[in-house]
Amino acid sequence: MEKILLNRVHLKNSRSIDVYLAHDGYKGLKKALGMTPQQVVDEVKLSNLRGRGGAGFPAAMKWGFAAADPKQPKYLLCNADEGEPGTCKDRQIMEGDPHELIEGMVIAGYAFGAEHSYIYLRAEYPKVVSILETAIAEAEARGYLGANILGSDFSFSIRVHRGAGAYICGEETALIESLEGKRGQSRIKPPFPVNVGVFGLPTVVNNVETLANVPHILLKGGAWFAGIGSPKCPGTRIISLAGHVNKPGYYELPMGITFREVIYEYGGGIRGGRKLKAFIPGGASASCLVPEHLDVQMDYDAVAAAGSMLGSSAMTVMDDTTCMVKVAARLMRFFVHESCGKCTPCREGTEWLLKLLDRIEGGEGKLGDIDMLRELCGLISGKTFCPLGEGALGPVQGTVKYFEDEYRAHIEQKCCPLKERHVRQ
Amino acid sequence: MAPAVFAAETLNKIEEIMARYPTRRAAILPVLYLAQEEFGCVDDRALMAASKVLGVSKADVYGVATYYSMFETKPFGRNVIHLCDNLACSLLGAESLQDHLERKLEIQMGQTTTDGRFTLKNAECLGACAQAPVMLVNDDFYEGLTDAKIDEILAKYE
Amino acid sequence: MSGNDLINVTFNDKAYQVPAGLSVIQAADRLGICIPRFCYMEKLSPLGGCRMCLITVQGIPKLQTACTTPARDGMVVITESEEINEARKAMLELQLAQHPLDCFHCDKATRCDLQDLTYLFGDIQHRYDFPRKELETIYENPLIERNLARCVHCERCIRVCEEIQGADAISASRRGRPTEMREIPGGGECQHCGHCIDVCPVGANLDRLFSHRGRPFQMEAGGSICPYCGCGCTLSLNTREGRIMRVWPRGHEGVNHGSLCARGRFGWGFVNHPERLARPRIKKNGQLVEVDWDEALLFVATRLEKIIREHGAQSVGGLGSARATDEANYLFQRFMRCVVGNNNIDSSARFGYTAGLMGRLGVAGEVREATLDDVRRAARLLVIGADPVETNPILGLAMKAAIRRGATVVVADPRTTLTSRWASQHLRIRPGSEVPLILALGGRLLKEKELSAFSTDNLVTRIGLTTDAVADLAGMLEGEGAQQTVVLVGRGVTQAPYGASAVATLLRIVASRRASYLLTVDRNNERGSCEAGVLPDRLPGLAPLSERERFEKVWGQKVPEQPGLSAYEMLQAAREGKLRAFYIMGENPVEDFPDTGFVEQALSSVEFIIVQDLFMTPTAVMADVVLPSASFAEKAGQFTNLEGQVQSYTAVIPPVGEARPDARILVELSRKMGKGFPHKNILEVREEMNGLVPLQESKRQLSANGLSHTVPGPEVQWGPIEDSDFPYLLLTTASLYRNGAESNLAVGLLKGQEKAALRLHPADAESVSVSEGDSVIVTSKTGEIQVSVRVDDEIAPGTLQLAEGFADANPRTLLGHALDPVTRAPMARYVQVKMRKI
Ligand SMILES: Cc1cc2nc3c(=O)[nH]c(=O)nc-3n(C[C@H](O)[C@H](O)[C@H](O)COP(=O)(O)O)c2cc1C
Ligand code: SF4
Ligand code: FES
Repeated sequence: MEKILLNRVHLKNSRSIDVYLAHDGYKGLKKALGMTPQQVVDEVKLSNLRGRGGAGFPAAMKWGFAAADPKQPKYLLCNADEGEPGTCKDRQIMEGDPHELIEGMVIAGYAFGAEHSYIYLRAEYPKVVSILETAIAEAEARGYLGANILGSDFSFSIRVHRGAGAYICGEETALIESLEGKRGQSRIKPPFPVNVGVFGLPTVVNNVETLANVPHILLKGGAWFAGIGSPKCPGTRIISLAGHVNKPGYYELPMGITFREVIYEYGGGIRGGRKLKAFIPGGASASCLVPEHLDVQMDYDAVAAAGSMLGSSAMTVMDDTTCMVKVAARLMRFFVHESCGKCTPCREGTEWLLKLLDRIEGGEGKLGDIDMLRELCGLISGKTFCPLGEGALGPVQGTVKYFEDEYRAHIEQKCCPLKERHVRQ
Repeated sequence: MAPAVFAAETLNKIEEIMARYPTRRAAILPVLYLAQEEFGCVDDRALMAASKVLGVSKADVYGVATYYSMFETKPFGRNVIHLCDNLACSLLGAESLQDHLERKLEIQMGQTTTDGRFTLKNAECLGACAQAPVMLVNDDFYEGLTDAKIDEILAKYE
Repeated sequence: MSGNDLINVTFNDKAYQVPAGLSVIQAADRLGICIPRFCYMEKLSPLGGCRMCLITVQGIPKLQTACTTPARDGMVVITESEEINEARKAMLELQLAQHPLDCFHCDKATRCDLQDLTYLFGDIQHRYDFPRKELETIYENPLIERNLARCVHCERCIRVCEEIQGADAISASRRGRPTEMREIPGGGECQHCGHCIDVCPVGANLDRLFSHRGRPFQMEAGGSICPYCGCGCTLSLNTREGRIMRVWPRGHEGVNHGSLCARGRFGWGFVNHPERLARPRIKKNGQLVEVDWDEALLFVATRLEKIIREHGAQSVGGLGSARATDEANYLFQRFMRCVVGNNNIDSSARFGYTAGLMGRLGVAGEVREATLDDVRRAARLLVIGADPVETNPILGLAMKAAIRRGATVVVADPRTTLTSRWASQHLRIRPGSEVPLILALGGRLLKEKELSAFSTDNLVTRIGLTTDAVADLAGMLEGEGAQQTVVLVGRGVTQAPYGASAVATLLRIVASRRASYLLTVDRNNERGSCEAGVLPDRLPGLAPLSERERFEKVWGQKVPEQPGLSAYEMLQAAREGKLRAFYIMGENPVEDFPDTGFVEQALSSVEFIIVQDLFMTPTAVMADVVLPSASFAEKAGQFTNLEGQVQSYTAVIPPVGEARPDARILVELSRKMGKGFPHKNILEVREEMNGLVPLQESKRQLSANGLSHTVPGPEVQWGPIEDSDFPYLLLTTASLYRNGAESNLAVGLLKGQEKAALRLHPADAESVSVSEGDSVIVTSKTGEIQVSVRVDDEIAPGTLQLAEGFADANPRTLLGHALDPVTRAPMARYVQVKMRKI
């Protein structure tokens, strides 16, 4: 299968604008500028490109809403906060092919009438700041960015804004708050960012991977894109594959491929010939799945039907030496650390969950603790302010569902029942 | 106590940064990064200085500075090690690496060596899970870590 | 959609109509449908964090928060169901999980939303079986304690501090469960309004003065009016066994809409102060000794009668009080006019409101006076020589509310004040330039020949502005928008030479542009005392003496025809030996009047002084008779606030010792002097007063007149004349923490700020080699004080700023008392001084 997003990253000097130009670079933009903004939106609509940040919202629809709002100026925010544990796909694009993102942003800006944009980059990617800034300077120097792009009336700026270490800032309204210089906490909706976004103006927030697809769609046509992979969610996805596989890495694969293919063909199977115990299909908030789900197809609906979610398509694979209580506790610690603290269920509930998990894992669990975990999830579920709190339940719900025996064994044996463990106490 | 103002050079940089945003307040994160660099951490003086240039109340600056993990309100070492111990790294041995680091540097997580050379911190996922286990020393990424590799890496930092 | 559109909503199967634009919780509140909450508060922006207000909206599967969901036409809402109750109980169980459950010794117990809701739901489970958070009380603030473990993270305190008080003193720090609502390290931003105490639904923010002084249900609450500044805030005095325990606002009632300042909330300590005067005293062998009331009053009567007999009625002077009730002032002027027989009546309002009043009397016809609500709604505010944030803090809040709604605020003031920091533009005019600035505006806007000289470039430069800046300022009073402009005028104008003329000019501009104005008023009843007739040339209702017949009829006593002396004219007369007796009711000239040395000298030449007060003030020390009067909490009466609102209140606690209300003392004294007033109680006094001064009478008098004021020529010396022996210019300011002598005896205010501080520019500090906290001696031609310094780079170099009101360093000692030709009040806003390190 031919790559789309990562088709240049292996080239020598892949970041440089010359290499980019030599390989179809900025051709999509040229084409776009020859069209009306509405035509660009229509083309992307035809492609059925859906957001890659997690929610899968159709990109063209978001642009259309922002374009329809009369307020000016409008902003495009590129969500490069990539904080979901296990996820490192956006980094591949930004490090390996920054112009792909830049071109996508300029086209998006043209399509819905934005003049300014920011790339909200997670703090943990300090080197990417200069990579992006160099690329931006190159693009400006060649007239692909800045005032009157390629001689047109369209002007567009991109600034890199480095976050400061808060996972919640990946949520679009928290990102907006953070960019405005506030504590990054999610906002009350409505109003939605497309109407009242950053600095009170119409704003589109798109993920890096979403935007990087745009030049290709413009160049090769929406129909071409719509024909790739799964019809409901066409295109490829960059899958970050980590954990106990022989070949961890980033794989750009069409949607609709099965987990078995990902883990055993691309990932080269489980390390040391061990048995697969569980895998997380889409980032920390996704409930884990077990070997019986290996033939589930990677697309939003199929994964949801299997009781999890595709999310950021970050896969973490665990072999039979893994203590699943420990996994749940580790992921819960992440959510406790990242809960913004605004709403009661997330702030209080995640910490309580973590205490229970730690207690069970440490061999001090009580018999009722497993039920308590379930009930506590019930207390929290559906009542949090933003999806972070709901997502925090994923690791508990999955592991309790598939590995209740392991939980029980911890409590009964007052220690971890696994003889050989990768995850240490 | 040194006055709670930025050096002239930093002020120039700040002006330049502020020009990128429609409000002064939006520059708060970049300004806090600069303040942390100049004052050694985001302490009381740094807060005052930032509050002044940004025209944002001290309370708001404080609220922001303490919200984000990247800012320290107490002084820290010349080199900061962020060892990822999130799931992927943890599955591949991050915790034994942590033991190694703690033993070698003779400090616990969250502490700074007595000579001020290193501060050791845990990080949530650093976004390099496919090369786990990983750590960040200042701005440099190190992947596929082992005890031996860590020893080599630490030697590079003064 | 217009503001009064109604929409249809269904709550729990019943159809209702509510105004459009509300959230579901607002609609429910208006309909009396109870939805529990922690974080929502009508006056604050919604947060949506506590998740207690969960409801079901038909058509949406998930529960929604009522506080963040807009009420829409046709919406069907369920506020109670099994699912909703379970959800709310879940939130309570989570809130209670780590709560210390230390209700036994929490001051909030029985008045706590967490307790109430837990009780309401009854069967909440407590399954959390890990160690709870230890109670951790933070005492960083001298007046407010913060118990972080009790916090329910509703962030009401943060929001009220930012959105209403504008102090930004507290912030949410850190993230997630460790989030703490507390002051930033170093603190210093808190203005001690205590609003965070009121809004806290639990015991996380508490009043330290109140700490363990009683359970909420042991408190009795009585409504009152704040005795400090001219805002006239409504208070609720919480008392127990006849003593004040704490002070709250009364819900959203009153001009203050539920806000208070440090003085209102924490300034009550003087009421039950151990030094309160409990019995009358008279001087015997040079000593003031306690006597009973009968003896004291008889003594006063005999001495006064003798002096009047021997030296004539003109030899007696009287100071009514800018702090006493309307009724007491009314009786006081009647006492002076009818019992003593002269018009020598004045008060400390002479230095503030009176000058403004004289200015107002110089304009015939209607001039729109703004209310606090008008200020809240104003689109532009022009603040000249005033610092409402410190002088009249609730007016300051009204200004901040306007700013939050987008109002432009321009402040013309030589000082750096809390108000100037809020300004969209601070025009730092030269000291003493308030009047020429107003006249220059007049020159532009009124097109009158005698004012034209003021808009010349030369004069404008002397003000310290550019012609363009003055033009911009004039622009605020031009065009359609001028109707939404409110001009705030303070003592920077009224105490300046020709201040009254300037006010008259300004009000003519205001009237011609249909703008409105408001005078800041330092003391609570300056306006009421004037309107009650405590003026040497005006009867109650501001009636001129020529209308005295109307009064004589009711009083059955003669009113002298000749205007009397104003305050400083009386002091002048005293120094010349022409004043033999002085009756001072509730004023403290030795501390409170400019040029204290002069005042003391003048009073020491008076043969017989009567002082009626709460405390043994420096003035009382000089008296021959001291009559203990009841404090505001111990008597009934009415005050007239800066907007002209008359507000009555009743006694909440019995007076300390044998102290008596001023009005009662005056009635009894009149009887002892054989010209007894007939009143049996305060209501009869009020009735008589209201009969003579019908509603709006003062307003009618205001517009009827049209005194003519001389407009000074441009050649007048505005501002100080340089004097190399006294190289610094000391500018007086107001302080949130002091307002009159009582404030120095209120423990809460002492905790807020213990001592005066001289604010100066770093360069000036350096030139006398002092740094923050060091003490200096400041000397003027008239006096000398010692004070510690606070270095502040926002103060204009060469100027020093010192707040009035601190007993330990009183700038009035330094001021001169040259009298303004119009108002006959000392022009006392600044003085040249020198300074040296100790
Ligand atoms: C807790 C949380 C974290 C998120 N983190 C990210 C992130 O790191 N990167 C991202 O692109 N989207 C993230 N999202 C999704 C964004 O809110 C938003 O949907 C996305 O940026 C929209 O872009 P798209 O339409 O291109 O997918 C997160 C959402 C939540 C609730
Ligand atoms: S679920 Fe609540 S506490 Fe958690 S991150 Fe979202 S708003 Fe913050
Ligand atoms: S009152 Fe609605 S969430 Fe708190």
